[in-house]
Amino acid sequence: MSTSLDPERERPPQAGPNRAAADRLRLLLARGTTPVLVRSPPGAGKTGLVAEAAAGSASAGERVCAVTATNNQAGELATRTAGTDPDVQVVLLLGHTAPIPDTAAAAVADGLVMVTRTISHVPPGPVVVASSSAKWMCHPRTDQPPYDLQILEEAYMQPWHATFPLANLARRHLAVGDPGQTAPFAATGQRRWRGQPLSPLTPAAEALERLHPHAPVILLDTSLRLPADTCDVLQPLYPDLPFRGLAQTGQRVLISARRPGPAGSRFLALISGRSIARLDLPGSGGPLDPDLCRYAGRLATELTDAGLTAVDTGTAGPPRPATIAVVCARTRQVAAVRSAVTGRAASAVVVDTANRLQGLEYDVVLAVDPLAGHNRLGPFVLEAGRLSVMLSRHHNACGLLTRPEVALALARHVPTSDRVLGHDPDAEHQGRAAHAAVRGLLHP
Amino acid sequence: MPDLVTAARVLAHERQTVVDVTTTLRLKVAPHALILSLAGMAGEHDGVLHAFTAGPADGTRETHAVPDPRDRDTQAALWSELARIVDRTWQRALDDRTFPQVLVSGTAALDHLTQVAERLRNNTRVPDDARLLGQRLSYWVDRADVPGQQSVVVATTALREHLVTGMSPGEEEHLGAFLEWCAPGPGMPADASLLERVELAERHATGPARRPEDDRGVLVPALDRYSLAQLLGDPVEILAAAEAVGAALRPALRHQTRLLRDAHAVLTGLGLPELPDVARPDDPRNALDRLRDAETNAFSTWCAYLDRPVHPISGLDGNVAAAYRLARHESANAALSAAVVLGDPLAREAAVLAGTALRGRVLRVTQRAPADRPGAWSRTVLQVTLTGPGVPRAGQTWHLAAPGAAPWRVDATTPGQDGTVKITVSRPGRADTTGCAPGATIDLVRDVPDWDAARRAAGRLRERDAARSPWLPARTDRSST
Repeated sequence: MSTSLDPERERPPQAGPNRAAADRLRLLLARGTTPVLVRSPPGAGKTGLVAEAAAGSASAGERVCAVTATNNQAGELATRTAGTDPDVQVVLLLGHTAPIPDTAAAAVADGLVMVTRTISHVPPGPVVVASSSAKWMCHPRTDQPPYDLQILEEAYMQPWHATFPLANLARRHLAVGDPGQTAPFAATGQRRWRGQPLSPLTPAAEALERLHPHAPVILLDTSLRLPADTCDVLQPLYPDLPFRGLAQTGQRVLISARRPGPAGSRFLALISGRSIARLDLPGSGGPLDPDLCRYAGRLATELTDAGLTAVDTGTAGPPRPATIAVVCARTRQVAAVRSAVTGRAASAVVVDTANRLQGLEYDVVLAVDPLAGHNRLGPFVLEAGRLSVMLSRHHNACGLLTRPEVALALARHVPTSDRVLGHDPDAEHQGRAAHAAVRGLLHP
Repeated sequence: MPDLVTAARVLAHERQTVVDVTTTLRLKVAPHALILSLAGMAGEHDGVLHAFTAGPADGTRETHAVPDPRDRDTQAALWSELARIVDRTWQRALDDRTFPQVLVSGTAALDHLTQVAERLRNNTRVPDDARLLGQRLSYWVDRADVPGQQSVVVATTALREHLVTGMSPGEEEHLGAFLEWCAPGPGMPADASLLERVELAERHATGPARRPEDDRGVLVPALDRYSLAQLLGDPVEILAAAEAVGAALRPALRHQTRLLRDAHAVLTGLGLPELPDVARPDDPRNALDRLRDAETNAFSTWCAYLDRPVHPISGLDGNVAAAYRLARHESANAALSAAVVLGDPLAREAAVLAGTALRGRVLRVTQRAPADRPGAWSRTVLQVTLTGPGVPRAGQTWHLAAPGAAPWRVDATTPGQDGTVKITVSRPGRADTTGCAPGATIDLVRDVPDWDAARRAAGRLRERDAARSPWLPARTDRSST
């Protein structure tokens, strides 16, 4: 087991967006720097970068453990790592009853990724082992760290209390994350720790930055997924991370095989020539706005029935049937949307909450405004991370379905949640400002 | 289940009485629970104790007051009296191998108790018995945060868990007003309407703080008289003035104690069946028994640690202690929520409404026997009509909300033409389709209570040696246990 990477063995760097950041990361890892933090906007190729780092370390003779929040993420990372360098041994570590995630099913079937459910069955020698933080918690204590490099995926989504007990699995640490994601949350109260420098629900990446203020931070500045105009709209949600979109505005389009219904036609006309728009529905929907949710369901059904094809005019990639998702803030809104998705769309359209759609991407995303159906806005709906997730899942088109009354509620809102001087940022105030800024940039 | 609670609130307003919001008992109040009425001192630090009434619900209660709690000696005397009564409760719990239970009027009383506990528990300048009192009160207020705990009964919270009134949730924080919805209190005019009685009840304070006009009219003159007597040094007058202060405080304490006894009577007389543990029908203990077991374990562990150098009471949670505590709270909450959805039909209705539980009518069941080898899984295909919008997804685990039903892993979901859904599920060993015969209505839920999850989470945290973690401050937290 070597202790550092040999840069001579590295593959020659490729040209492309975020290449400079990837090169810098490789250099830092080769020097044995720890910890290292990578901060990224949505869709900037974090997983690819991590897969490259993991494969590079393993091919240099190191043992790498990757800590993810979910099995799906672990599966995707394992697949991407195996795809980056087929000579590297990649292991997906799962719980005893957990099914093999869809993200890794093909790679497992092809023999590129080995699945094990027992930690002691992980092979010795250079290897990349991907698993969820819950499974890694079952790793027995050892005198010496059993791995050389630990990669923490989605480090802004994972709470610090779930990651610090795992850190002794490796000698060096790399944390990668998107600072605009929804913050970790708990069902039970966390008032007890408010005002302390670190609450157990502080995102792991933030904790790392506070405890190691001189640790190198690598910034990715190009989103591969989001077109340029979407990046402009989302920029207020990332005040410390300027970024741009690789695809130009209007480069990615939707072509319908059949004429959609009135809602679908209105949406396609609105989104023409851009990738993100605000769709204002007149009237008021009452608590949680079930009418707006049902409208989103009907719109998704019409778009599915229209047979949309996603086309990227800037690349030579073939057109493909568009994937459609509807994202809401609350589970009850999800139920209302699902009740209105009918026919073929019932199985084709993904409807879920923002929390569950984090890390996933679709060609068309319909976002039900989290502020719709709330006379009094609270910290939950105002959270900037939730809005960021909702508006950053798409390749081609995103529509924010909202009501005109939301602007009034936002203008009248006065933050009322507890403020603790010292350490906590005022999430409610920041969320209000972020919502107002994004609405201002979105054209109805 | 906010929708059902709102509907019940409207119903309660129409009927002018309380309405049940649960079909099972979530909390067992002991007949000998310690009833504790506290009185603070307006304008002073919240940790000041001016007077209290304490004693078992089924026994004699004592009232103690001091003329001026700002005087350290008299305040210490009051702490000693309370420490003696709490010690009696503690010893009884230790003798019975159970846990001490305390009943306070509302969240304001719990906050006051917290302040007193924080003032005393690590204070080396107070007598030993007062410090021990602070530590014991800390145990209670720490437990109060744990979902499903049975040690601290906050009367308004416990009542609201089982009943709802036609008032707003904020108004329900007033214990006297809440109890008027249950039955007319003593001294109420016979011809008064419910809302008039509620208005009259709200004129009396039910927490540690009294109404300012009462303080100004009675207590302040008595305190002034006591201060003057102290200045003049007249022992007879001092005694008389001290008695006057006590007399000014006693009516409020008497009223608070009477309300607490009434709340105790309501809570013990709800007549609801105890929350069952549907997931383990072979075990005679129900979910409430498991919550009480957890309470007894927490109490015995705390007592065992009390004499050790690393004390379980933390002034401010360190990093590791915070992780332990959060893991414990989250696990307890998950187990309780799952037990409630499985065991309480009303809560399950709410879950179906919210889309977190699925309801369907079974049309056809097809079983495939497992392969003839150990550990093989059997497969069942259920053709159902789901009444709600959600569908199970492949890879998810669902449980049939029926006694003893083992978990099913969903292998595939195929929507049919006529609104039916074909769900292919599998489980280890032989197929068991108890409770899902054709024509039956089934409820599917995602979780079953895992009562040991908290212990396992703590065990795993202990197993990890986090000292080298870059996610921890350089100085390792030594106060965690």
